[in-house]
Amino acid sequence: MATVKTHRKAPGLIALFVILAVAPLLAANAFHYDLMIKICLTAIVAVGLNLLVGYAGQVSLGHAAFYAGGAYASALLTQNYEFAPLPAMLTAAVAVGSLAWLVGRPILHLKGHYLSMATLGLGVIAAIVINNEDQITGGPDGLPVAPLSLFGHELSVFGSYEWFGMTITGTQLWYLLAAGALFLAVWLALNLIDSPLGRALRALHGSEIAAQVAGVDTAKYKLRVFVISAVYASVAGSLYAHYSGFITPDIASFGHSIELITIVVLGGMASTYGVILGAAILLLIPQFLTGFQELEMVLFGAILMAVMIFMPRGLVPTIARRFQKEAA
Amino acid sequence: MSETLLDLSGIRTGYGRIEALHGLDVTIDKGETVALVGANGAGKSTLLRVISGLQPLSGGSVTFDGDNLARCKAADRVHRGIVQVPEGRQVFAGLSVEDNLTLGAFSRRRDKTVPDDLDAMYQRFPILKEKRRLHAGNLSGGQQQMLAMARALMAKPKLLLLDEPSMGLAPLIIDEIFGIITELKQEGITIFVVEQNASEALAIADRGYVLETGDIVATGSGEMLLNDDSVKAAYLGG
Repeated sequence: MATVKTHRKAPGLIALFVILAVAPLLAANAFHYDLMIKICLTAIVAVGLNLLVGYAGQVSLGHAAFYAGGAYASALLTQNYEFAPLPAMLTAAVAVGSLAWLVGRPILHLKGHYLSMATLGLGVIAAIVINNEDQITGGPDGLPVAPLSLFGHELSVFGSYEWFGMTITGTQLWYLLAAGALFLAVWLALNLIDSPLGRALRALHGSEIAAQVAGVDTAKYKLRVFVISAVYASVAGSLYAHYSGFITPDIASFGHSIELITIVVLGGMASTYGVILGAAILLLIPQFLTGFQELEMVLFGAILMAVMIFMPRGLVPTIARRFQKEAA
Repeated sequence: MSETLLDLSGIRTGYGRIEALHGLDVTIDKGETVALVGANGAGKSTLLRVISGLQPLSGGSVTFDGDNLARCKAADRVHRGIVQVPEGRQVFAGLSVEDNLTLGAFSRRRDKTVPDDLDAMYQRFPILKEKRRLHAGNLSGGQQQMLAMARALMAKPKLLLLDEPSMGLAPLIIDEIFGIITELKQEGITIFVVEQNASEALAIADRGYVLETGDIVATGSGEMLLNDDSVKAAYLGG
């Protein structure tokens, strides 16, 4: 197909690279690194979820289930079946992707928001299963996970590594890994948006009828992007499991699914960089609000409401629009 | 005797419990331009939705180029050459004009000749070339109608379905749009045009059908229908 480049990817990717490279200069201690790693991993899920919500116009209320699916599958495969972490991660991604395909296939033939209902149900079921099957999942007590090892090199948060004469801590190395994974996730997502699949998605989001009469099999493409977004969540979940070394059913909770959707809406639907900012803000705000103690959640809710009232398109698209208007 | 391209027989369909089309028959021959006229709510758009595969049938059959399309999805029908310009244009407002056209060729996205077709389309519609970087939503109504038609032509249709191409456009623009339709007709594309603006549509059509609340009530050559007293009274304003 004639590829007409409508989005130039290089400037954005370079900016992202610089920000990810400079961010460690702001980190004073291991806690800051921990926060940055969590932001990167959450942002990966958000970038994937944004493909579904922002481009295909479908809402998943159960992405925490895919995230937890990746995390638990990685944990169990490495622990009980002696998989190496990388093959375990891939196996988990295939399993989670297949689950999404099975759920999405009958649902996405229907018009409307049935996918939300189905994923809501899936999320609740996943949380119940993880909580109750305690012989396998450890139940509410959680499950320890082996540290990540790549090609025989173990990458433990508590380790310390020599690299070109520099000593870096395990946490710093993890940041590099998480940032690299986020960069890769964004690059893949941008390419996807620019591909015929992405153009088809944007078309069907604009007008489903027109997309159909232009020859776009709308059900097929919605299903494809749903599976892709589930795989994003699964891989991020696997990475999180190895990073934290301990996972609990909390990551499969409905609250977590809502948090992920909130990140996408807050940062700006259909804005890949926006949802990264959304992830950063959603994870950072609680840190600044801890001083308010019991008011923390109230203030958090108020901030989200204010953003949605004054910037209904989300942070980045609204700001970008303002700049465009001033330039014009 | 020319070859039949589209054969609709006994078409029945409805929305919920209300039947919109009560078993109607329509045939279109290769190279013909056929107009379907009728009042608001007669079922004109529904019939086009049936042909495009957007509306499920409760009875009857759609045969295109000799094949029964009963189990053929909307996207596959585009691949076979049935391409619709939907009512109200429905351009992809958030996409550039060029992306809209490229999407029109979605069913042939592995075809190497698409860029050439894009150039050809820009020659036919110079205004679209001028505005190719703009979002389609920023075009005027007439330009959007041209874009919607150009988008459909990018799919290389064997049968072009036009749903109310004159809707909401100024008279001068309507003349321009019908001029384009006449050109397409001369190029040999089979066209099925649905219109409330009966006089313009019948004037360019080889044959016409008059649809009234789900039934075909009159059929004949375009000229004959234009001069038919009952059609005149009902649709042409006396």
